[in-house]
Amino acid sequence: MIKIENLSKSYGSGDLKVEALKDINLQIDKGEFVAIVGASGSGKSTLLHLLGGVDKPTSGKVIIDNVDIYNLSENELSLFRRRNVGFIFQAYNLVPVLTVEENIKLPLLLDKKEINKNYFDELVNILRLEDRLSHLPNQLSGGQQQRTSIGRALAYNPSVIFADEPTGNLDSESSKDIIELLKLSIKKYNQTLILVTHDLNIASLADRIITIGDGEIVKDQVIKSERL
Amino acid sequence: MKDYRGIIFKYFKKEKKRTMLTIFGIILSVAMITSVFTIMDSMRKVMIKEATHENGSYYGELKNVDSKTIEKLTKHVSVEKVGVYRDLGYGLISDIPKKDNDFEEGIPEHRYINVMEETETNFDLWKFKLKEGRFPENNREIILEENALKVLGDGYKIGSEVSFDMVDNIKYRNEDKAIRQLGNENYKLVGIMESGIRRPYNYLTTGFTKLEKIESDREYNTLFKTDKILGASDKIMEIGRGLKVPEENIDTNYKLLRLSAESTNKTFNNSMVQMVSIIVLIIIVATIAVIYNSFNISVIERISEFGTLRAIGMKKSQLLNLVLLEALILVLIALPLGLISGFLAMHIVFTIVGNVGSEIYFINNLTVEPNLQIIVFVVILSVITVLLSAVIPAIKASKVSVISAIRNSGEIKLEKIKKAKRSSLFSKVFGIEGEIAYKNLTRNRSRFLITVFSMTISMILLITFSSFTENIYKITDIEKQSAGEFVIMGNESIGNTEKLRDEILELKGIDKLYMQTELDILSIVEKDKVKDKYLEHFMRNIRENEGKLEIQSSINYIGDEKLENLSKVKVSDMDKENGVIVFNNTKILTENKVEDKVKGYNFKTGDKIRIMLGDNSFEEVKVLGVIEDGIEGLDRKFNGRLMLFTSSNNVEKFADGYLRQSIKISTDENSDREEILEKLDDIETDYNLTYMDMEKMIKEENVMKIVTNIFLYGFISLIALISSINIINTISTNIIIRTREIAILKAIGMRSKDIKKMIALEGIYYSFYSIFFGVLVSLPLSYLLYKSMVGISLFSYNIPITGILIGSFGTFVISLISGIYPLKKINEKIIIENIRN
Repeated sequence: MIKIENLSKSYGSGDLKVEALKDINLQIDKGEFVAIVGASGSGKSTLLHLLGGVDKPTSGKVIIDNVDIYNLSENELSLFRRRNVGFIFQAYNLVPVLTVEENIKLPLLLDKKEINKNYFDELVNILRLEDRLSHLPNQLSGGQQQRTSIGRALAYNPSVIFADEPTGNLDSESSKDIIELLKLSIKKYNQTLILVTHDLNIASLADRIITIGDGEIVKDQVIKSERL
Repeated sequence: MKDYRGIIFKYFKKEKKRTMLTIFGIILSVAMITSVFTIMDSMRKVMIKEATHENGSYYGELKNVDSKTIEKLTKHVSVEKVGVYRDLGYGLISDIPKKDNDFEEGIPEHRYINVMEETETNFDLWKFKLKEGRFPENNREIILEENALKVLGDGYKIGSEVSFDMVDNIKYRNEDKAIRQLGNENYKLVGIMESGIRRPYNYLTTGFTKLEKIESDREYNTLFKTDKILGASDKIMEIGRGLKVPEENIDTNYKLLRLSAESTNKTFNNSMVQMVSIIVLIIIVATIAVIYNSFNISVIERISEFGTLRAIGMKKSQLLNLVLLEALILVLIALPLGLISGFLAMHIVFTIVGNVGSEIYFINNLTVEPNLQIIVFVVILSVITVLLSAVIPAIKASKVSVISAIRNSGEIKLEKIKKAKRSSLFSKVFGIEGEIAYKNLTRNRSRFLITVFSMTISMILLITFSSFTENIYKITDIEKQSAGEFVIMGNESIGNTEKLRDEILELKGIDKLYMQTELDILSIVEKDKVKDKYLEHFMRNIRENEGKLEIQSSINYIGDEKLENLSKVKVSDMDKENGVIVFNNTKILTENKVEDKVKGYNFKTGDKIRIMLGDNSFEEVKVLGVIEDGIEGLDRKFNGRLMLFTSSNNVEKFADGYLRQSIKISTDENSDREEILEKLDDIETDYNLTYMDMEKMIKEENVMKIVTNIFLYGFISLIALISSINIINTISTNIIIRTREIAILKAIGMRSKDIKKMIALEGIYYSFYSIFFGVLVSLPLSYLLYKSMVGISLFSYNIPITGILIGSFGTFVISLISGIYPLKKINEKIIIENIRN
């Protein structure tokens, strides 16, 4: 379960002060697929980054599975991200010198752990990357790169996946493909997915759509109360 | 921005730190090139100064000319200064006591003062060095050189009357020559000058009086300067011929003219020019490494920017020029600062060095005189170097394909990442951080090579030069142990030398005294007397002739009593039987080391040796005894020289006037240096011997060593500094370029300490490669340097461990330090900010 209490983020000070997020309160249940939508500059990405622990709030709390993540030390936060959170970025952001296989296994390798063979095979199979495992990122198409980054996000079987415009650089066919994969994954492994997008078609596939405007939640719709 | 080129300055502003670092690198190299040329220039100027100091400042000399010619010479348009002098003859001072005619060939019967009259201009043209008093103002006043006062005896000082009988020539012993008496002359001593050349017994010294009037019926010599020093030699000949002076009477101040006229590189011998060229080349290579690197990185970073410029219509050539112009601006900014700091640094170094070696004329007179020639040369060299280093990056920039540059926002895709082999070793030992580090290293071959190359260069320089200086130390050490504190040498009879020895032994604090009388001979022996295995090593001193061996040898006399004690053979027996004592041990120089006490000879008591003496006559000597070692203070003889010892009578019988004497003296703390020096000065007046003050020589040698070190280590540290800048530049840019990548690694859960470990490992890998190649290249290089020095002195080659250790340590430290600042910058920012960029 994710709980957000009075979360605010502002840049600059005085007259130049820009409030990206204003006093957000939110609760997301385990297993939920939440889409965050909003216009450019509305603060939706900032919210996601704050949830994932890669940004710093001006005030407020983010509590994931009863852990107040901004109360953790830098090291603890790193370990928390490594083991409990999966990230997917719009620009894929793979490590260029590592192969597909190494990129996927990276979070576990950081803990000097071997990934469960069956799980890895299953993951690669779902992501359709079997014959791309020894390729470098620059030898892949955009869709393949993004599938690799999903693989990396799922490697540790995290409880929450944060996806920041994961389809932003992809055509509609690949986009659909990616979302289907994510949906399949959260269902299969009982994960929470929080996804930022400005594509309403994609948002409509979520369980719940939160609309952000000017740093505030302007709408919070539950589309399906029961998961299928 | 009025011109599109204004974009350059915007870029400089944005990349302030890198621009500054690059400029600093160029300043350093400009300063170093300036320093090298300044040293050359200053050395040449000191050599000219020294030549003037020794031989005078005149350019040309016409001998035996009359007053009319002198007048014409004075009025010649190309002649600036004319001085006139005349030899007045030799003033008889005292007799040189007759001791033993055999050893006094070429020695006159008397001591003389050669008196000359000179016009005032000549005091300057000769560069007389007045120690006391003033120059003569009329032809009754005289200045004498210091040594002349010594032979005149006590009681003469400035103001004294000096009187002597003049003769027209010097009379040598056993010489039949008519000497004309010129009558008695009386002078007032008004000044004392430094002594010039010292001769045994001080038999010839000089004095000068003033030439007041040029008589029309006499012949004179003239010294003069022409208006220009360049081409003076030809001008002097032309003037002389024009005045109808026979060619043999026209002379030039050869050394001064040669040094002044010729270009700098002819002043120095080839090896010096070679060394300087190598140094300049190294500086240029180091500079190119820095600038190329810096430009390459800045071009890679701006690839998409360049693509945009191309897309909006910039021509390829415009882009190429833009990057080259950037380089030109940087070098123009760096040049004045580099020149100034180069001159300034040399001024400081010369001042320090001058304080260290104030007693050595050469060192004390080094000055920095910035001149246009150096400046122009440095400017041209630096501009070429910098443009050369920027050319490849500039071409790279101009070749950017518009579409790929725009599409790829970063440099990641552009740099064509190569797939690295999975290294299980690295990942096992250092974990995933080690493996990523290893892969980052190998991802870009050219950047990897340039980084390793620049780091390797600093390693090579450090190792090679430190081994070079170590060798210099060893040379001076060897020469030090073979020398006493004072060495007296010359041709004298044994009797006189022994008398002298006894006189010296009466002085206070004489610790040890070795006397050696040496006579060079050739020994002709059977082949079996030389051990086969050493034969080839001895080749320098042994020749085979008609089935026998001819060995370069010496017959030595070390004192009858001493020899008797050592060999247990009676001196009287040696006298009777032409007996000698043989030293079977010798020294050889093998491939790379000196072997002491090699038993190279097989002589036994009773053997006969045929010897050839200096006058090509033969004698046969009989071996009466054999000694293996234990003779202290003997000169070191290498490569199998055979040493025989015999009695005083035998040596004198064989010698026939060619006896080389040497006495080595070492003193203890009870000695009085002044007293000994005084005694040695007297010896030069009373005997046919000269002395060397080894302590002074060693002192001067040490000073030279320190001075050499100041230059060498100064040079090493500057090159190390340039190379460090290069390392810092490369490694920190390697990190900055990957800011986003590092941020992602953090986002997916790498801790700061893991990132630090990864970057540190990258630095360590770089260092390992550089140390490996550095050692690989510098070992043979330092060995070659050693080989070229072995000719000078003898010592064995050692692997330059100190240099390797210091170099390795420095490389590790600098490559680790280089990562600190960029990592700190990355860590200061919130992860998402780094990813967004």
